Amino acid sequence: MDEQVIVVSDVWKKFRIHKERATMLKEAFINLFRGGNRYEEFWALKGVSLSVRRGEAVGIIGKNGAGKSTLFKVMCGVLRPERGTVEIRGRISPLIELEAGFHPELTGIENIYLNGAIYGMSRREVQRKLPQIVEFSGLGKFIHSPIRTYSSGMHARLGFSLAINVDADILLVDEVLAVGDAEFQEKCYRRIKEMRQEGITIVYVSHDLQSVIDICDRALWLEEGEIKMEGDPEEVVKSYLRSAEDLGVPPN
Amino acid sequence: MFKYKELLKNLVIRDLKVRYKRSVLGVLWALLEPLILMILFTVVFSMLLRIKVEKYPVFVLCGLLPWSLFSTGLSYSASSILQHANLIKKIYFPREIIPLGVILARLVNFLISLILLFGFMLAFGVTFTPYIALLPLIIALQLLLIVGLSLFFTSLNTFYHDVGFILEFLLFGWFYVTPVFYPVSMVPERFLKFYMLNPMAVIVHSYRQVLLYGQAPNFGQLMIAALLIAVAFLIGWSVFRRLEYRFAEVL
Repeated sequence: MDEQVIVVSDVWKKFRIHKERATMLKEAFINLFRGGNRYEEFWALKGVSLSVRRGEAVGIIGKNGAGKSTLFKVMCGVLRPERGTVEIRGRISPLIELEAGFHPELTGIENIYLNGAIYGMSRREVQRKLPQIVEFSGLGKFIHSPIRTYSSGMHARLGFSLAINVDADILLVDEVLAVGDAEFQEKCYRRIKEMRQEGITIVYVSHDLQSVIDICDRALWLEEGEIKMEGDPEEVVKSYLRSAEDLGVPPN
Repeated sequence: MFKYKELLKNLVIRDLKVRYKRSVLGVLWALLEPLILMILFTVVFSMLLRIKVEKYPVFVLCGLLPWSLFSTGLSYSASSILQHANLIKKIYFPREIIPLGVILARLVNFLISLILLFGFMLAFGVTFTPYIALLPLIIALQLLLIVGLSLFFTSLNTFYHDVGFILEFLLFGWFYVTPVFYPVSMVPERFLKFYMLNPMAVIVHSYRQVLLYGQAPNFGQLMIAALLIAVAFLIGWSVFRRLEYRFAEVL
């Protein structure tokens, strides 16, 4: 059980903060003559290391801009770090809003197939999971309507229902439970806890500190791109709250 | 990449479904579009400007179909990464799948429109010869050219949006140096050598040779074109490789 399934070692990630990014060649040329691009460099991650064992649930907390989402995206493979390495063993599934992959003209069902493929699922796999996904979404007969007719809440339901039903070894959760109504949120929590029981590795990014304590075995506190503290969720959350109080700002 | 062939398939299907979903005539447009163009070109270039070519409607259709595969393949795919910005920022999959899906959807459209061409060939009494067996080879070569150029333009367009505008002008000019509405025989001898360095000129001419003229294509020219296409592909592919990991940062 001690097998490491996520090994992030000494990861550095830099962003360019453009005053106004030249999206037109003209501006790029002007910038060239003005002496270089007008941007500042900003290190979002400064030497972050993290390993997660199989079956472990690790929470990541921190203020806005602390680097949580960047770390998340580096682990997903969406962003490539400037330095350091990320090793993932197993199938990773990011639990995110996948509205991006939806097409308004296609029905709920058609969108499930399309998005399933984006997650790397085969058609047969989606087919097998379909009743479960539709059931979870609670969309009922609307599942056969083009999703341009959906409300934003229904969009979110469809997205999560799919993501949460992907057979993954590692589940990455990024602040997703903020959408949908209370009942649906509760359902998502229950499912995440179930997956924990099933031995799925979970990395959980959230501002909801109570849920971090509830779900995770270990917590990580990121501040300005560095790990400030790591350990028992309750203690990490306590210190995090104390530091926020010291600064006189309410924790989110 | 192989693991993601399901995604590629889904993207192609989605592209086709969405394109025709809210139109009354649906997929018939894949035939109607070239038919209307064929009529327009025949009126303008055969009847008004008097380009002397026998069976002009079939002749021009045989050039229009591969040309529109080329031009729509390039211009549709150029903005494809931008259109999928949200997806690319959120989840990992091989990025080239997006433009590739667009191009393959255009290929399906092209293959459907070949029905129209074959129909007109029959109607105009063009004899089908065994050289038609070379058609897949020509299509494959053309696809390689489209994919190579597309990888180049798509990745640059993601950073600088005016690459898309430049591409439109490039295609506009390229159309005139490709024998779409006139035969290669109208090109003066002294320019021919340079003219045939345009891979699309060789490709369009080859389509006509194997389909309409019942001739073997000029293999010497095809080899040179294939070489240029391979170079274009390698350049496009390496530019894409170098830039793709920054897509999520600039979108």
